[in-house]
Parts: sequence; structure tokens; C-alpha cells
Amino acid sequence: MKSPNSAKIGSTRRVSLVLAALLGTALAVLGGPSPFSSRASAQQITVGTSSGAQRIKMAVTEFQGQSTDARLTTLTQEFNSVLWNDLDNAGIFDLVNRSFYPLKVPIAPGDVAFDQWANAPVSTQMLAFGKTEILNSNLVVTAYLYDVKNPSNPGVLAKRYVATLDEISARQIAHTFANEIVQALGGGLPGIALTKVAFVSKRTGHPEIYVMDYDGFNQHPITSYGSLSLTPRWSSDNNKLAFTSYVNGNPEILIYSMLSHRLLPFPKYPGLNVTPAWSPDGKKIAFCSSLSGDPEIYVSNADGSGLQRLTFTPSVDISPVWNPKTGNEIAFVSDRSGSPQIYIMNSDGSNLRRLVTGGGDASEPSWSPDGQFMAFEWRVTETGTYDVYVIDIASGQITQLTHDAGRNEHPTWSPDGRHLVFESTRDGSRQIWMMLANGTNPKQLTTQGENWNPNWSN
Amino acid sequence: MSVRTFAYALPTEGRESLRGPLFVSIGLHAVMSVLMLTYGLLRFGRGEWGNPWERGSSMRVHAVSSLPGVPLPTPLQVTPNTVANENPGLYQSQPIPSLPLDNAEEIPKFKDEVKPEQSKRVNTRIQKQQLTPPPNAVPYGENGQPAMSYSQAQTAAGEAGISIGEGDFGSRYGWYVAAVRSRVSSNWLLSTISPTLMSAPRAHVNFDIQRDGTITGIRLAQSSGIPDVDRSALRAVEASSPLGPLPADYSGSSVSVSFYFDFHR
Repeated sequence: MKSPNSAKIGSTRRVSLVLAALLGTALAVLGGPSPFSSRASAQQITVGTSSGAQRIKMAVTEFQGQSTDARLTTLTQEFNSVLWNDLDNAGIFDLVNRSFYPLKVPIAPGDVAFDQWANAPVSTQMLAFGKTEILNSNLVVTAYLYDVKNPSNPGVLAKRYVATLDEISARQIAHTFANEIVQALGGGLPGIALTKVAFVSKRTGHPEIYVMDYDGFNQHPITSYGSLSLTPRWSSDNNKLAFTSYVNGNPEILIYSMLSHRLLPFPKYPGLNVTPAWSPDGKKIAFCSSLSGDPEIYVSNADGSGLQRLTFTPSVDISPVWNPKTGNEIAFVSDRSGSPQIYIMNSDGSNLRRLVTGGGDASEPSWSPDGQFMAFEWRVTETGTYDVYVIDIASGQITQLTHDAGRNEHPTWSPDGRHLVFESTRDGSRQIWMMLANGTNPKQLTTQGENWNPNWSN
Repeated sequence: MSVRTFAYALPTEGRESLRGPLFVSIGLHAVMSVLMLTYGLLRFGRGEWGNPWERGSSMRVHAVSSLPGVPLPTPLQVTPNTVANENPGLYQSQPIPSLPLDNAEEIPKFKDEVKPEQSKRVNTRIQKQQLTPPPNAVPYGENGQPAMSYSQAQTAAGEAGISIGEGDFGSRYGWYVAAVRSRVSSNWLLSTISPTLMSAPRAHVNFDIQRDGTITGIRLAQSSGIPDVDRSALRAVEASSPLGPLPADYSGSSVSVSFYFDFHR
């Protein structure tokens, strides 16, 4: 800085230093830091085209009865139809029509002609086959699942099931085998073939709690109070069913044990007590009660102790549901904004926020098993009708699942997160329907009387 | 202080003043930054930042069933194979018809064509070393089955690939690899990555699958350099536990998996 020359150089250098720093930042932002070495990429080779997670092509042969016993014939028929339906309902398989199958159907591993199954017209990836027989007056089913595109090591599953000789057992075996297939090929998510759906049915004149298999079979009543019983909810271990009943004159929470087939003790509070919901660990129940004058969300232990109030507004707060993944959050419906809307709060009542902001009225939230989605019913405009929607909770993206098909309400998730069960009037009367969680493949489960408010077991 | 020095330092005659060019340069930089900012706002400004709860009264509802994260198969998307192979394609290639050359004119040749003298270059300094290949070397271009079998998947968030086990696990239990791939890819969510990000370098995540299907030892083997993408990849793997139990006739107690994630929008 002493001579004019050095001063000039100093100032230009400063400018160029600033420029260099700017450039460096820009490069760092563009390129990003890379704290890890790229050592791994050297050894790894990429082979094969990319194919999306497409449906797995599967051929399911008709299992052959190994004797001409009339009982075996009917049970084998039942088994075959149930297995086909279960795999069809699973949502991850593309079942190849049986009219394409080779004439000779395998019943044992030695019979499989791999090229006939793997090539056109069947072109299947997986082949389920086997046989049924009566051994020691038991029903014995031997079942295989083969990867026919890999003849050198085709075996995926080989199972033998022994059960009593009746229809329930035949269905049970088919459900179990379907679950094994779904779990093996579906990446570990459990199959739903052995799950149940609780719902409200008015087929006897009064709304009562009913339970059926997930495919609509074996519908039987749980209550016969001749009163009003609503909103059944399974506990996470499927051993208890909590519901609302007016049997004692006042709406109150009842808990029914599916093991002892009796009511379990739960306190009777004055006023309105509705919409129970189990915490994922089964230790707590959230419900709506008007203990304080207007309906608010309360939480207590499953035996009624430790009652705690979570919401404090002069509006109606109802229909709580726990986050099944973490158990730390509760979603509920409130009309504090003027119309029913879905809110989420922590399980101690803090951190309250509104989930669906689009107006209309949104209610009946159901949290997906992985905690990622909320299914709910929504009427976007006053004149519109209720439809089933799913919101991605993290991003707020909403997907409409039912369109132009009557009123669609009360969605609840299946334990695998691939299905939804809901009530719909698309058939003329209110009935229980099931669909895949992307809105496709709707199936009617009930036909008798009027049925609503389904809840899928865990 | 620097300004004073500067003022005293510059003689008015004999030396060119740098002040003019400096201001011109600063002005041009300002124009460039304005252009870049405008472009950035126009190009990337539509991404939704911040709180999804406070988006006003209008909400976007998707009528098409696209629910990334629901463990259901997505429609097949085929991407071109990156490895050339010997398989015949779907269509037979037609021979190119030869052009009629009756009226073609020949290019005249120069009579006295001068050929440049070829000079031989001999490098006397560098003696080429004869390389002896190791006994287990695979000749280039004649490689057989690679030691690791990969398969790729395309998800809403880009591409994912998987290398599983040692030796022939992938070829013996292709169904298991496919199941792992589809489960992990379905858990890789676009919504966990910043909306302004268009693509990212590949991220590798390694993990082990135990006999009962639980995932252990999740580690980032190679970062993509972008924390968002790394986190979403780790999340995808963590959300997939437990996978299905390992194949019944597989003898090992666990299988190690390398899964890569190629993010692009």
C-alpha cells in the first residue's frame, strides 16, 4: 500500500478474490458436497432393463381331489374358488385365465411342464398347484408355488395343510395358502385373507353389530340388543370390539371380548358417549363424550381409569382415530370452523392442526397402517355427494377414489394398506364394499338388509 | 482507508483508470444476476414450499389414481436397456436399397498426385511393459454372468436398482429379489424430496435381511451428495422392514443387499 503500483494491484486482487469466492460458492451449490468416496460404484454392474413394480403373472390350477368322495369334491370346489378369489383380491397378481392352461394340470412337482406354462399362451411367472385328499378322515391339502420362469430352482413354497373335513376348514386352508403366497411375493406385507370386517347391519330391523370374513362370507351378529348399536372398532390384537350402544337408554361405550364373548367393564358416563378408538398398543381408548356439556375428545385406559380431556372448544369434537404407526397422534373431526373438518393433534392434545383445508365437510378419518395416508369421506360442495378420498399427510396431496357412484362413506383401511372397505349406495341400498386403495376393483360384500359403518380388523 | 489509498494512489496521467471497467463489470454482473433470478423464479418458482396446511381455500385433488406409497403395483414403465445384448429385436431390419449409379460422375483424379513421405516414429525412450493378465481375469467384452445380479425398477421418484446376496442368490431366488425391489421402490416417495430438485447423483444404500425378513444394518454406502435424497432413500429402506422371510431352502442366516436410487423428475 505504499507505492501507487502496489495499491492498484491490491484492489484488483481483492476484486478477483471476491469473484473467485463467488464462483466457488456457485460451483459448490451446483455440484454439492460429496463426503463419501465413490468406491462402491466401481464394483457394481447394472444388468437388465427396468420394469416397474408390475403385477405378478400367476396361474392357479384347480386342485384335484384324489378320491371320488362326494364330500371331498365339494370341499375341493370350495377350496379352489376361495383360493382364486383371495389371490384375485390381493391386488398384486395378474391371474391368467384358466382357459389358457395346458390340458394336463400338474398335481405334484414332477408333473410340471415348465415350457408349457412359461411360454405363450399362458406366459405365467408363477404357478400354484397341488392336490386335496382325505387321510384319516382329515382334509389334507398339498400345495406348491413354483417360479416356472426359473426351471433350475423353481420352488417358492411347498405346504401341506391338515384340517377337519368341513367347509370352514377348507376355506381356512385356502386363506392360509393365499396369505403365504402374498407374503412371499408381496415383499413381506401380510395377506388379508384371514382378516375380518365388523359392521352395522339393520337386517333384523334394529342396527346391530355384525362380523364377517373379509370376503363377505360367514356374516354373523355380535349383538342382539334390539336397540341402536354403532361404530364398531377392533382392538389392535383383534380380541376386543369397542362400539357405541343405546341399549341402556343412554349412548355409551361397550367393549366386547371376542375370546370370552362377554362385555368387558367400562365406565358409564352421563350424556353422549360415542365413537371409541383403540390406541395401537391396545392400552388406551379415545372417545367422544359430552361429560363437560358439549362433545369433546377424551382418552382413558381400556378399563376406564385415567380419564383425560384432550379438546377444549365449544364445538363438537368427535370420531377420534390413532396413528397406528406411532400411537403419538390422534385425528378427529371438529366443526370449530363452521363445518365438519378433520384435525390432527398429538395424543396429549397439543400441536393441533387442520388436515384438509379445501372446504365442504370432511369426516370419518381412517389412518393407513403405515401412518402415511388418511382416508376420509368428503363432500366438497353443499349440493354434492359424499365420496371417499385419500390424503397423503406429509404432502397434503388428495386423491379421489370413488366417482359418480352414489354416496360413499366410512372408509377404513385393511391391515396391509392395499385395500379399503367402505359403505356405498351405488347398488340402490346402503351396502359394504371393498376396493383397492387406488380406487380400482370394487367388490360388494353384503346384500342383506342395510349395512354400514365397516371396520377392518388388524 | 482503502478508498483514500485508492484515490491517492491513482495518478491522473500515464495510467489507465480501472474505475470505468470495474463499474461496467459490476453493472454486467448485476444484469446477469437479475437474469438468473428471473429465470430461476420462472423455472423453479412453482414448487410448493412450506406448510401444506395453509394453502388457502383451494386444494389440488387428483382424479387419477396415483398414490405413491400404497403398496400396490404401478403400471409398467419400460426404460431402454443400457446393456447391449445378442438377442434379436422385435423387428427384422430391412436392407438399405442400393441407389442407381448410372449417371454418377467419377471424381477426377490428379495426375501428379504427391504422396507425403511416411515418417516412422520410433519411441526409444519408453519401453512398453508387457502386461500379464491375472489368472482369474475376464477378457473385456467376453464377460459371462456378472458376480452380482441387479434388477432395476422405476418409481415415481426415479429409478432404483438392487444387488442382492453373493453368487447366485439373485438367479436362484429371482422372485424374492423382485419382491424386495417392489416393496422398497413403493416406499420411495417423491414427496420426501425438495420440489425444486430435478435430479440427483446415484445414492447407494446397503442393508442386510435376516432370516425372518427384518432389515438390519442400514447404511449409506455412497451418498448422492444431496441430504434430501439420501434421507429419502434411507427412509424407503427403513419403511420396508420387515420384508418377507428369506426363501426356505436358502442356507444362510442373512443376505446383504445393495440398493441404489437414481432420482430424477
